[in-house]
Amino acid sequence: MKHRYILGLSFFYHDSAAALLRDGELIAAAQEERFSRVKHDDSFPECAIEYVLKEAGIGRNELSYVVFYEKPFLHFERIIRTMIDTWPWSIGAFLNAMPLWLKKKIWVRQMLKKEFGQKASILFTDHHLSHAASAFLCSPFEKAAILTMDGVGERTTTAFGVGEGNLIELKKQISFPHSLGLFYSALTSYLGFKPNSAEYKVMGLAPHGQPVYADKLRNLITFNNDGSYWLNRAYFKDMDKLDRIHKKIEKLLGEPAREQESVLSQFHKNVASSLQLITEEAVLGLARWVKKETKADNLCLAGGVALNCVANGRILRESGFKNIFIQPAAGDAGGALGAALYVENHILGQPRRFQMNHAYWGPDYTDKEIEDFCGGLSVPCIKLDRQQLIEAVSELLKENSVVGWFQGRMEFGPRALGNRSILADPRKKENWQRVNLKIKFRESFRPFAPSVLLNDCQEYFDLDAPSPYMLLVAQVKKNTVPAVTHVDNSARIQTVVQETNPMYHDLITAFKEKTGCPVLINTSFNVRGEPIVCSPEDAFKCFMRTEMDYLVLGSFLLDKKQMPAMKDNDNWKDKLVLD
Amino acid sequence: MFNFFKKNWFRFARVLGRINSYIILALIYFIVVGLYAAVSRLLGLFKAKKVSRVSGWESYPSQPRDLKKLEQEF
Repeated sequence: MKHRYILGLSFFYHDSAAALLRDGELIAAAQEERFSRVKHDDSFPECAIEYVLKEAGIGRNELSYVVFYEKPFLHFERIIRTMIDTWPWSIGAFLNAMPLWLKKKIWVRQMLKKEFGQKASILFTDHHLSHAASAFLCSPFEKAAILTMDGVGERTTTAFGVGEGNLIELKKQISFPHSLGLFYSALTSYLGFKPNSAEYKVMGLAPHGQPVYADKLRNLITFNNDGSYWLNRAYFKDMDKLDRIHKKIEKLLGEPAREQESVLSQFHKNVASSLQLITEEAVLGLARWVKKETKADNLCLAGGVALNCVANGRILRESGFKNIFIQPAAGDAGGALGAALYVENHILGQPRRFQMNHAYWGPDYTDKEIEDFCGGLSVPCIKLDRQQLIEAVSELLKENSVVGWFQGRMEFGPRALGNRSILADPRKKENWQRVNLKIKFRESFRPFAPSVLLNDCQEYFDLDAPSPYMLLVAQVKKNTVPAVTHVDNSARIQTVVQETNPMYHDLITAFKEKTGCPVLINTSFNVRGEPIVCSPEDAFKCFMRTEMDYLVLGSFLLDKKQMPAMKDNDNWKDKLVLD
Repeated sequence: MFNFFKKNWFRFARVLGRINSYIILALIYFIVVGLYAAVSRLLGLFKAKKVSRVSGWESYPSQPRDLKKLEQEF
C-alpha cells in the first residue's frame, strides 16, 4: 500500500524544525538545534529532515507534500513596508536584512525543489494557520476555540478562530506592529536578556519583584474592551531598532537599559514583574474575549506567547474555558507540525488520526549503540536491568545525587520532559542553587520545575488539570519541596503518567516509595547557552563538563568518580552564545 | 604559484562584492525606496484622517480549502 507522507518544515527565523506525517499520523519531529548544537538554530533543517526520513525509513523521493510553515513573499512585503514607513531611519536594517532575503529567504520554493525534486508538491501555509493547526488538529478536542499569539508571522501577531472536526477557521487577527510577543521581547532586551530567546528568564525573574512600574508600562500598550490591544507607536515605531526603543523606555522608567550579564537590581526585578503582570492581563483579556465570541468550552493555544506558562495558568483559572490544550512545541518549531497537519486534514480533507499525548518524537538510541559509544571511550559503565536501574537511581536521588537521565526518544519542543533531563531531590532547598550554579551554570534567580505523578499532583499543587508539557504554573500547597517552589510559592508543573512515559513514572514512584515524595526536580539536560542534549555523546560531554554526579544512558549507569579526565575540555563555554 | 594568486584574487573579489552590494543596496534604498516613501507620505497628507478605532481586531483573510492557493508563496 502506498502511504501519503507529508513533511512540514519551519526555518529561517528561529527554531528550525522538521515534522513528518504518514497517513496523518506523526512519525517524528525534531528541532535542528539538537543536531547542529547551535541554540535556536534557524538554518535549513538538514539534519532534522534526515532524521525524520530515517525514522520513517523512506527517501526524499517518497514524499507527497513538503509544506513550509509560512508565506515568504508576504513576510518580505511586510518587512519592505516597515522600512518604507520608517525611511530614512531604516537604512541599517535595510542593509542588514536585504542581502539575506535576496540571497536566501525569498528562494524557499527553489531551495525545496532542489532538495526534494519535482515529485513532491511544495506548499506554503500562513504562519498563524500553522500555529493554529499545530494546536487544534492534534488536540483531544472535537471542537475548540483557537488563540494564537507570537511576535509576528507574515503580518499577523495575534489571531483567534475555531476548529471543528478536521477544519480550522481563523476569524480575526491583530496585525503588526501591534504585537504582544514583540512588546515582551523589547522589554526582555531592555532588561539585558536576548530577545526571541530569553523571555522565559524574564518570566522567572518576575516573582522576585513587585509590579510597581505596571502603570508606567501601561503607556506602552492600550487595551480595548474586546480584548484587542494596540502598542503605542511613539515607542514601537522602529521595531527593528531595539536601541531606539530602549532610549524611549529609559525616559519612561528613568533607568538605563541593563547591560547583558551585569548585576540584576531590584529595579530590573520590578520591571520584569510589571511586564509579566501586563502580559498576563493582555492574554487573559484575549482569552475572555475569545470565550465570549466562540462560546466554546475548550481552548487551544499556540505561538511563542503560549509558552508563557504563568499566563497560561491564569487562563485556565480565570478565562472561563473548561479545558485548555497547548502543544509542547508551541513556538515556531511547532509550526512545522502544524503546516503538515493543516494540509493533511484541512486541505486534503482527511479525518484526524493523530492526537498528541506525549512529546517524545525525536531520536532514540539502542543499548547496543550506547554500549559501543561507552566502549569507544573506554569509560567504565554498569549495565542494569530496568528494575535494578530504577532502584539504583531512586536511591542515588534520595542520597542527594544529581543525575543526568537520558532515555528513549528525545522531546519535541523546548522542555525536557523526562527523557533528556537532569534530576535531583526537590526536598533539599540547597539543590536550587547547587544545580543552577554548579551544573547548569545559569543565573541563580531561575527556578526549577517539578515532575510530579499525576495522581499526587493535587496534594502538592493547586492544579486540577494535567500539565504533561510543563506549560502551566500553579501554587505549591506543601512546603516539603522547597527546591521547586519559586519565591512567590508557584511552580511550573509537569504531570507524569504511566501510559506516556512508563520508565520516568516508575522512577518517580520508586523515589516516592523511598521518601514519601512523588516529586523530582526536572531541568533540561544542557548547560546555559547549549541546546538540550540529543545523543549519548552530547549527554556524556555535558555530564563531564559539569558537577553532575551520575549519568544514566539507557540501561547504563556512569559514576563521575570513576570517569577519566576529559581531554577536550578547554574553552568549551566560550563557544556557547549566552541568552 | 597560480593557486596562491587564484585564492587571494577570490578573497579580494568576495570583499569587493560585499562592498559593491552595500553600495548598490544603499543607492536602491535612498533612490527607489526613498521616492516611494516620499510619494506615499505626500499622498497620505490628502487622505482623510482615520477615525479613532475602538478595536484592534481585523478580519483574518479567508482560508479556502484549495491546494492551488497553498502553492503560492503569497
